[in-house]
Amino acid sequence: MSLRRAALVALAGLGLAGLARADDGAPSVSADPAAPQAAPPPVTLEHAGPPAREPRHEIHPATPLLDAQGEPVLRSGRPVSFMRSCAGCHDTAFIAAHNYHAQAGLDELAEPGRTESGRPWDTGPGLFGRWDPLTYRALTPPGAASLDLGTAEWIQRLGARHVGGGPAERSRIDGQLLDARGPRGAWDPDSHVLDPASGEPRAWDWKASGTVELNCMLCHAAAPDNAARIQALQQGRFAWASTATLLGTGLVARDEAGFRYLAAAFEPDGSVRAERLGLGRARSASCRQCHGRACRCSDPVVFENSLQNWSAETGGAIYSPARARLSGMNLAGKDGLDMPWDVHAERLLECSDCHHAPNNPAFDLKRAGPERPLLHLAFDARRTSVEDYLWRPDHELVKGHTSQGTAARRLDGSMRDCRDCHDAQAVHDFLPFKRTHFERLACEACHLPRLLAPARMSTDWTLLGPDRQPRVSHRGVEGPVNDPASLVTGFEPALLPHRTQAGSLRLAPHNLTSAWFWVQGEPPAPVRLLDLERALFSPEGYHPAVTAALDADGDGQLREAELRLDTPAEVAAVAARLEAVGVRAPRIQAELQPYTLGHGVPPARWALRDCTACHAPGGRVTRAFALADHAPGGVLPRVVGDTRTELAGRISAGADGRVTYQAAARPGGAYVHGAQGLTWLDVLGLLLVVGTGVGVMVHGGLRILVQRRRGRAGR
Amino acid sequence: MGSANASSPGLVRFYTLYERLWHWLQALSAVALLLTGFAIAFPAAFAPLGFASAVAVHHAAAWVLLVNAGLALFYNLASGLIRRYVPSVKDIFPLGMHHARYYVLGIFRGEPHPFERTPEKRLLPLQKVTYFLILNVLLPLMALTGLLKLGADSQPELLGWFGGMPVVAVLHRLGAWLFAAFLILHVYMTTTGSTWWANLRTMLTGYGQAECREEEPK
Amino acid sequence: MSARRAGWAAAVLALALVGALAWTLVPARAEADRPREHLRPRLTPTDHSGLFEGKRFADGPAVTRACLECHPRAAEELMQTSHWLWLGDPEVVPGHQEPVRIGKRNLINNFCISIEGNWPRCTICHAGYGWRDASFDFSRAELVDCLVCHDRSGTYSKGASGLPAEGVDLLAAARSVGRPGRDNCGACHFSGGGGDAVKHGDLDGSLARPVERVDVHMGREDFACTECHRTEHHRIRGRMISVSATDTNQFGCTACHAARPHASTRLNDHLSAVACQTCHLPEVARSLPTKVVWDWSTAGADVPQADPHHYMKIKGSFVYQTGLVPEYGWFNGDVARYLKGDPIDPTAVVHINKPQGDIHDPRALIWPFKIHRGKQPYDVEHRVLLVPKTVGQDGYWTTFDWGQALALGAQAAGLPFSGKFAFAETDMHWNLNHMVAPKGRSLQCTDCHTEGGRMDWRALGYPGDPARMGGRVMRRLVAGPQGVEP
Repeated sequence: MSLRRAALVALAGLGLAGLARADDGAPSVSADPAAPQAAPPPVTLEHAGPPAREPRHEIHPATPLLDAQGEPVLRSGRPVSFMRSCAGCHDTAFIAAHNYHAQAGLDELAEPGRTESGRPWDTGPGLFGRWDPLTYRALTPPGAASLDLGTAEWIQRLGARHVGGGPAERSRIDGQLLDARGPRGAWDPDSHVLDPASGEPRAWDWKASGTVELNCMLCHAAAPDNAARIQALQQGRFAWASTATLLGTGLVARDEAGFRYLAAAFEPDGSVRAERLGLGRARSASCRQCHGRACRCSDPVVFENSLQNWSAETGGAIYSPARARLSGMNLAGKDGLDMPWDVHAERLLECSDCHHAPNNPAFDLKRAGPERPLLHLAFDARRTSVEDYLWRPDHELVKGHTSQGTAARRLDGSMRDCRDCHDAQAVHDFLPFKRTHFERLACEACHLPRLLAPARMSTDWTLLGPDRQPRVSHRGVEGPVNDPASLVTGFEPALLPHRTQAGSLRLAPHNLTSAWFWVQGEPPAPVRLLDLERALFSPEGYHPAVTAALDADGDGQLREAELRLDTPAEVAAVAARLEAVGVRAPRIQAELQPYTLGHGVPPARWALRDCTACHAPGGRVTRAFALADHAPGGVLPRVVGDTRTELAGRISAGADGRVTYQAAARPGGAYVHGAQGLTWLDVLGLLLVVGTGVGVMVHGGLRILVQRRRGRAGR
Repeated sequence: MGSANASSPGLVRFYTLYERLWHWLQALSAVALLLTGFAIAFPAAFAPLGFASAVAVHHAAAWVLLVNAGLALFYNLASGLIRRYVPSVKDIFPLGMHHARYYVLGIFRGEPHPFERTPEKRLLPLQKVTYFLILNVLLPLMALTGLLKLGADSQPELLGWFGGMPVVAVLHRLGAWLFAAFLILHVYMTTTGSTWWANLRTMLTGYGQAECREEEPK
Repeated sequence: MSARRAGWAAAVLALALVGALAWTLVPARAEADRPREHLRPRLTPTDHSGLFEGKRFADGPAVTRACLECHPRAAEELMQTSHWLWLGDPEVVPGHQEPVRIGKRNLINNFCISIEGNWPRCTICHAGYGWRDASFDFSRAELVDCLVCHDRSGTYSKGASGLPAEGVDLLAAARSVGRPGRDNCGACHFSGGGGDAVKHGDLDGSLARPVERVDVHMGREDFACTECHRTEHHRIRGRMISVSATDTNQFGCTACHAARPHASTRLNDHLSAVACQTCHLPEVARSLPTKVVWDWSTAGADVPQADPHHYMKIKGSFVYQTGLVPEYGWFNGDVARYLKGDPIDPTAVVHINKPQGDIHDPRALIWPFKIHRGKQPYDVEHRVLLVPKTVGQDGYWTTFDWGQALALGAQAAGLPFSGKFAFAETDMHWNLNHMVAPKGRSLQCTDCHTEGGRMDWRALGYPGDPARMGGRVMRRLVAGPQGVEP
């Protein structure tokens, strides 16, 4: 019987289910041939397919699922708490405290305007406190005169990309649990949210919503239900977010009343087997949920540019082992793209192979400085023991030093970067002046010559579209982004001087993303989205004053092409509307955020090898880089203050309104042979050479003339 | 040296085999340096050569030119022939002036060459002055800046002492333009011998017509 | 120092420098993969269309006699080969002591099982005329069928006992002769097992006019079979593990391709454990379904309108697959061939041609296989696989009487038959070589080196994924390529 079942399983595995016979009759000679059968007899083999594989060995023990009070959830029915459930073996408090993904900048908060970004309205470098023009809404600091984004609404809107804990659990003001403290005045942003109907602050009921604790399963379960988690956050059911994550495991069901636990899926003692949760190290698919398409996705890869696909949207990078040639996207020159989207993904690297936990004994931690205290010791055999690591895995994951990774700058450059694994000296024999090239260039400068996916070029919040979304543009696509008919061309990144951890400047590939928006007051702060919508729209559509100012063809409608602020009159009209809804001194500001690129690296044979790509006038190092199709209000963007990238060149708007960045002649102090083109010296030299040439020609010509004349005279 | 060739009476040996070899090798590497240097400076204008191969050939030709110059120095020192290259004040004034006047006027009037040219006195006054400048100013300048650029990878501090790549590269480029101008002039000057091709032939075969204004007993 | 001596010294040194620099500027020519250099030129065959003036060929042997007038040694050559004899050279089959000659003539498989007793049907594919029974005379040169391989008109075909089919214009066929094309070889080799694509999985009618996606050699480069299966004196290079047991007369990809053909060292390092075919044949039966299961035990039932891919009354139940993903195992070139009369264990799967070699065998590589699984009759008492007589008036396909068919078959094959029979499960390995995919479609790292990837590492003998746990050389499970343990 069991053999038969195994055979059935094997058949099902082959996709042959349904061919197997269910009865147990002896399968020898067929029945009476005279009697016709309706269905053909199926095969009777017990080994009709490849032998079954040995199941994977599961090392993690069964886990009790407890609520915040430490009671089994099966008994209490309350939201599951992983901080409590996992604490039996792991120091969850330590994990939450040493975890910049959870803290999201809560531990780095500063007074408004005192942050490195230079924005007067920023209160920190992380997701909680640093304004991002891609998501727009600004977190209101304590004591502000008006409320925009309170903590509870921050969770609802930005919690989708936050793993829980940190600011979603404790007040930034007094460090108390958010659901344990009462309202502190009408403008307290930790206890109030903006009521979109009235435009007034409204107290948030933390008791009803609960808080969002660190969600271990979002990264350590095999198939977390992130959509359900995000939905719970948006609905304000914060405490249930962790429970919602388990929806796909069969442990939890959701109905109108809320979440129910399904006792049948639990072990008799109320615990849950590790296999059911798929517990393990964080996989690339885990990271992908917030960072974009960082996946083991197989062919054909299809993607969309959106803020849900963060790494592609901001940098055009797709971390996938699949072949670009077999992609489902409308890629330019696809037939020739016989390459993976990322060579490291192809070569089996998970995100955590480079971005590992600092005390993971499987990896060597890089030293912060160049000094090596014990010169004779190449390898320290005294490692963190596996037991210690599993008890207190440090979640301050090692990171790179990108311009956009502003949170936890203390860890910048701690990750395993290219040169920690690759010996560049050993393989670049074709390259003259190796050392100079390696000193002046980041590896990615040549090894990331082109990003295959489109990326955000500009975001214009000065006007909203009919869908109340900003006007955005992308580079690397011909036609509207995400339209299947558009040709995805990808883009060549801008090579910009980028400050390394050691302090030197190296040219590294970047995407430059600009944003235009209204600010108000002094010190300035972005105009609240609520006010902007009130100013631009009436219940019927665009406000008549806005329509009148922008309607170039006078048809009473605002078409796509008319949705731009070019002339001072247009700017003044919208500014007047903003003032009419109570905005003080509205004016347009623009900023430029460089995104340092490091993912989506192709195999080495696709790396830049053509010297003249840089060593020529108009080469990659010195050429202009498009920033936007037009500058709303004629305002040119300024680079954000907390970048590691130096834009030493000039940002300017051309006659057609296009905004470009023109690199300096010698960016980062690098003298690029051949990139200068014709200099005054060459003009002088050319004159000298041409002059000499002309001189000898005249002289020679005269000699010939004289010779001829004399020849005739002689005759 | 300078013995008459038995087979062609009137012809005198100006250059030994080595001197010709040296000259043409130097000419070859100098032209190669100019062309590849041009290709490196203006890669778009000189695409067919390819930037990478231009760099490789430039480096190789530089070594040839430099070592060849060094060997010639050794040859001229060891044989004592170096004296021929040292100009005296006389070579500038008045001889140089005579010489220049010949190119400006005399050559058109069909005047005979103002200076005799023998194997022992093979360099004319202005030639002496020019070569002296080339060998003592331009060549060392190009060699020094070139070597500094070549050593940018291994000896970046050295490059720094001389003002870094921007200064060194500009000097090297300036020298290149000057040398290009010299080369044009040099090639043209070969045509000012007894016939248009006489000097070129002499440098190829080693033998040439001695131009003696008066018999000078040795 | 004299000027002459100084000049010589300087000249020698200058020339030495030039020589040395020129040497460094010449790029080193790397060992590269240049398969086209190994191809033979494609010759234009002699035009035979003007020959045979006024002749009429009454039968096949008449054509052969005409061929032999100009090609006197051709038949003699062919008659030494397995295409005529249906036997190979004597070889010691693993598990047996004495050298024997094995081949289609005397072997059992798990498709139509055996030709013995069933000659007229099976010998349709014999390169000869009239093999009706065991008494066929293999020494008669005029019985060699030249046309089946050399007809280029596309009109020639064979019927029962290998005789030309009804209505074939032998003169037209004879006048068309030339070098064998894919369709000549395919006439038999595409249709093994009783129909197109049934047997091999990597050989089927889609290769007659293939596209690049199906086979890069035949599709993109328009290879004829004989461009790889090089033929000298009618002896064709290559062998198949269904009809031969040891690694002789074999050739591989490296006959044309470099031994380490990849730009990537890591890929080349795979070659000490992985056959080229493993990565370059991501799947076979790309466009036509191939048979993977044949269950004789259900034959004999009347099922109106049964899909012949699922059931045939004369043959039993089948499973076919398109886009077959191979199974992988170690293989050193030899197989333990089941020979007629070998005892079986009916409680286990009987391996008809088990590939030899394992992780410890330095000759063995991981190969892709199509495994054809079957259920076929055996003698319950003597415990040997039986041979049914299926063809003919007294054959199973007419009478549907297993007892009679097996008795007649046993008689023809010289097997004992107790009268008691049942059906044993068997499997047969088909190592895959054809349908090489364009390189952009070959397997990638993640196809094998991931959880749930193609390789069952434990079954192959590895402690785990060798990308993480180390390969067999590194783990010292086998001596290194040069016999050195790294």
